[in-house]
Amino acid sequence: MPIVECRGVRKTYRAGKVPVPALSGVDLAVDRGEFTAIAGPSGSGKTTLLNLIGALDIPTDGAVFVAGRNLFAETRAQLSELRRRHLGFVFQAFNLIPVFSALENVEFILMVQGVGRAERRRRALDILERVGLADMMHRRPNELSGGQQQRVAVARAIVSRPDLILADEPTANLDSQTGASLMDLMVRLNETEGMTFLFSSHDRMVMERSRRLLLLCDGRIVEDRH
Amino acid sequence: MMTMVTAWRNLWRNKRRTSIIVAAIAIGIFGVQASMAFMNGWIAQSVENIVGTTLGYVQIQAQGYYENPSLKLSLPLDPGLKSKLLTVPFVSGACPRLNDQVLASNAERSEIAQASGTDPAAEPSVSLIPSSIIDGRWLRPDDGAAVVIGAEMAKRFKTRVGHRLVVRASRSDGELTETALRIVGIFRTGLKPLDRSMLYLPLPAMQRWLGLDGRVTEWIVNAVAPDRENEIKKAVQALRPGAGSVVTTWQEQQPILVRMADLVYTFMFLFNGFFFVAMAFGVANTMLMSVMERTKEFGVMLALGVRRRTIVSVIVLEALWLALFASAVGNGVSALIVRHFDRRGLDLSRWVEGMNWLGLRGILHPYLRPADIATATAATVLMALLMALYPAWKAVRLAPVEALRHV
Repeated sequence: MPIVECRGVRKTYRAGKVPVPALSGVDLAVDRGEFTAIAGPSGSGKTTLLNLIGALDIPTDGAVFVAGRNLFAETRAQLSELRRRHLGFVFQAFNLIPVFSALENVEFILMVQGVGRAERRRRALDILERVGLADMMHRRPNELSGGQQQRVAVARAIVSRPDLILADEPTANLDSQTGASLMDLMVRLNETEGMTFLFSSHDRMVMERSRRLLLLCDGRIVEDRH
Repeated sequence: MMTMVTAWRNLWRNKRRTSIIVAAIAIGIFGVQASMAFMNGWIAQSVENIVGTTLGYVQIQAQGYYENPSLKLSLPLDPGLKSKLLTVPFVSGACPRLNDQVLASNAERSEIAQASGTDPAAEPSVSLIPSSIIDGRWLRPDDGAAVVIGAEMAKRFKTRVGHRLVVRASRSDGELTETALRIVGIFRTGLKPLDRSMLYLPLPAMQRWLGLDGRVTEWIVNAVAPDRENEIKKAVQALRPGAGSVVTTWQEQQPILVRMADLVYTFMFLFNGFFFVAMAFGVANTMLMSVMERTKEFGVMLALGVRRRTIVSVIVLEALWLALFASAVGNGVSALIVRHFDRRGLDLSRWVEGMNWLGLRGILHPYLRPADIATATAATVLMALLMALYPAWKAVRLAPVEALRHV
């Protein structure tokens, strides 16, 4: 069973009284262990698709299944639980919680999952070590570089071992070298841990490293390259 | 625990804004507490002016004496009663008195006055008159025809220590009687009615003069715990102080003073309520700004699957921290300043001239009761929590995707 399945997904926004279609019938299946990038020009619907798969938004039409659950049929609390237990997010703007240290940002997600104090400390330290930030664990986001912040964000996304990690333009705010190093980290996690990644990006480096590339144009998948 | 820590850190994200609102609340609390301490001091002084001079905390009198003070309603002086009264918990002094209205005269003038025959050794334990002597001395047990008068009376009578004063009164049998007394001391309490019309002479001299040997009109009982009058009254009643006697508290004898205190505190409650409403707007503004500017962050939290109730907890706890911190600062500063003026005394002599009827003497000792601190803290916390509800409600209504787009 695929971890993500989209069937005829449409999403239309409204700009005043004018309907603006963002997705115009997307069919998609992503299996466990994939390392997939959704590419396309600005406004092609990448972020919209990722938001729908991430249970952050609801489609105008069609169905989205994540981990076998029909998102359309779930309550707000159930969607929140789904995000908490099954999904990891990496945002373009890092979006770490500024009053937390790197360690606390990583631990936070385990805390909301109800993991005990000692266990979450151990796991958070372990993950920070793997992303190469163990010696900066007590720094707050404003004391870290962009690349370091995004590594913390990746650590936060993977620490609970979610079924799927959604990364929305993760390298967009990083220089090419830092971006490449971050992508290498995620490739490694995919290869060694079998973690499933789904990116949205128009960064060539992301596309080159992904094993599957979906090209999105005007709200439709126009190419599915393996 | 992490929610508490998060809320505390969030509070100090914008140090300047938080400091300003903490200062505003603290100053508000200080305003409330300063006025409260002044009122407490004033009421305590008003009570002390009456209780600590003529009335006493608890009184033993003949049935009906309070309504109709008359020598006919006297009690036998039980010599063993004093030591028994002193065994009652919280009682610090007991003194028998024989009171009567007299006409005081000298060559200069004649005026009605209130004479109190008292036990010179026991009076200091129940009233502040013996310690208010400004000229001469207080009465001695072996004094014969001696009298202590108030400074205002001395001034009006143009008399002084060593001079004579003639007093006239009706004995209990209706016969008129007069005696000449030597002024041995002059007191000044700062309370004009007392300084003008009270005079004190030794109990045996008063008894002899009025033909009431072995009798008194009242026992005055003083206490170290001013709020335990009823407890003391019951214990005194249990001593069975004499047939035909009744035990009363100062509140029963001076209900108007109790009502005045109630009125003052009711007014203070309303007045302080307005203070807190004004402060509430400041807190509401701070909380709302703090939440609105974190819209994106709440979006991230929602995206990560944080429960909405956790977000509400963080916002409410921020308000709680703000209230507790500001209360600690406001009450702490208030307590220190009030304690300074309590020890030093607030010199109001320049302003209280002519305000004697309000019960004010020259030096006021403001103080705060633990209940004042607790009430202000509770009110601040309640206000802050109420003001956090709207921002919290706004935060939980956020749609994650909209919140994430927020700049």
